[in-house]
Amino acid sequence: MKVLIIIPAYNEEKNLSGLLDRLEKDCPQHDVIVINDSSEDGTLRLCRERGVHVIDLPVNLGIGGAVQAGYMYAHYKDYDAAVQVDGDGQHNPEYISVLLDELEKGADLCIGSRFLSDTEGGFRSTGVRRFAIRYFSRLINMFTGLRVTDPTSGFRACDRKAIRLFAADYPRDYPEPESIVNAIRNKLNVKEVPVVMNERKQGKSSITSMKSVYYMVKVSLAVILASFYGYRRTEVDR
Amino acid sequence: MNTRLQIIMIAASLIFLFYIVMMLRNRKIDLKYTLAWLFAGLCLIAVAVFPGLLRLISNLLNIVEPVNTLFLFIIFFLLLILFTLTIAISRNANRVKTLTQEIGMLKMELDKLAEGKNADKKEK
Repeated sequence: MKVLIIIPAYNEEKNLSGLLDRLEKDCPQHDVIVINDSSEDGTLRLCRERGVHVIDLPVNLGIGGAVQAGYMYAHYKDYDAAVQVDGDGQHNPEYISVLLDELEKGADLCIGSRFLSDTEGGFRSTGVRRFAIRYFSRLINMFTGLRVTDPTSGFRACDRKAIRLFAADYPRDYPEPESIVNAIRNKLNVKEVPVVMNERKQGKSSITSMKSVYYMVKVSLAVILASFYGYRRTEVDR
Repeated sequence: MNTRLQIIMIAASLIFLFYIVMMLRNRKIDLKYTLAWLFAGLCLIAVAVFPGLLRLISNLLNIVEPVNTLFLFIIFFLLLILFTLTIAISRNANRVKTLTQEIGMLKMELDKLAEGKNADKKEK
């Protein structure tokens, strides 16, 4: 299986190196691509020094646009699967094989969830965000009938079908919950597997308290709208 | 509507229309986005020259003051134009996004090509 690891990175100079080390150790057989979303720090320089392939976006697009660039690349280069891993080191590369196993078993989109495992381990986000996650989980369940325990997780594996969908249509900001609904509506088989995540090592999360209200409203609306669009055939040229 | 208001409206509309035509001639703006403005300007002139028109519509809509009818139509036009701008901005934002992604990929392919060439040189 030809697998591409997609790492969206915005000002992740301090976290990226450790992640690349672990990727080299845990899954050296997969191709890695970093999408540098117009970082202002040395993210690009670091990638060049390490000789890792990098899509250097000339204009900052936000997480959704950056990730989509990765899926577009995976689609053009005909990868069998793509795994999205955050550049901040929250996601443990050792679980990549677990996610991919689920694809082999027939899932189209497999999400790494912090809330599935019985063991109380790892970082599970802080109070307010846990509330938001539970709320989105309920919302998605209401509108699609599917149980997704960690809808904001950006740790996910996609098969060809999901790659094609996301390459053609991916939300721009705060994309995770909306993209799940999109996938379900396009009749993709969405699965979750338990993973353990780390706390961010350096830098700030993209979601600040000021933006959280906008975040809740925007994502709620997006989820509700996405579930009304119904099945939409998406084809990518080339 | 009094004569003074009529004169001001006609003068302002004419200057406005003249300005749009000049911009169009210099290719500063697209005709596509100015059609609504041109139409609005012409309507204003028509109303200013023939105030009876406004009174007629006011009577039809049961609006006591004809100037309120004028405001109503102006606001309606502004909303319409604003909304077309929102559509245009969204489309442009999407185009910029796609272009940015494609440029990012092209830059990487270029890097790969350059790397390959450098490697060839070293071998030789």
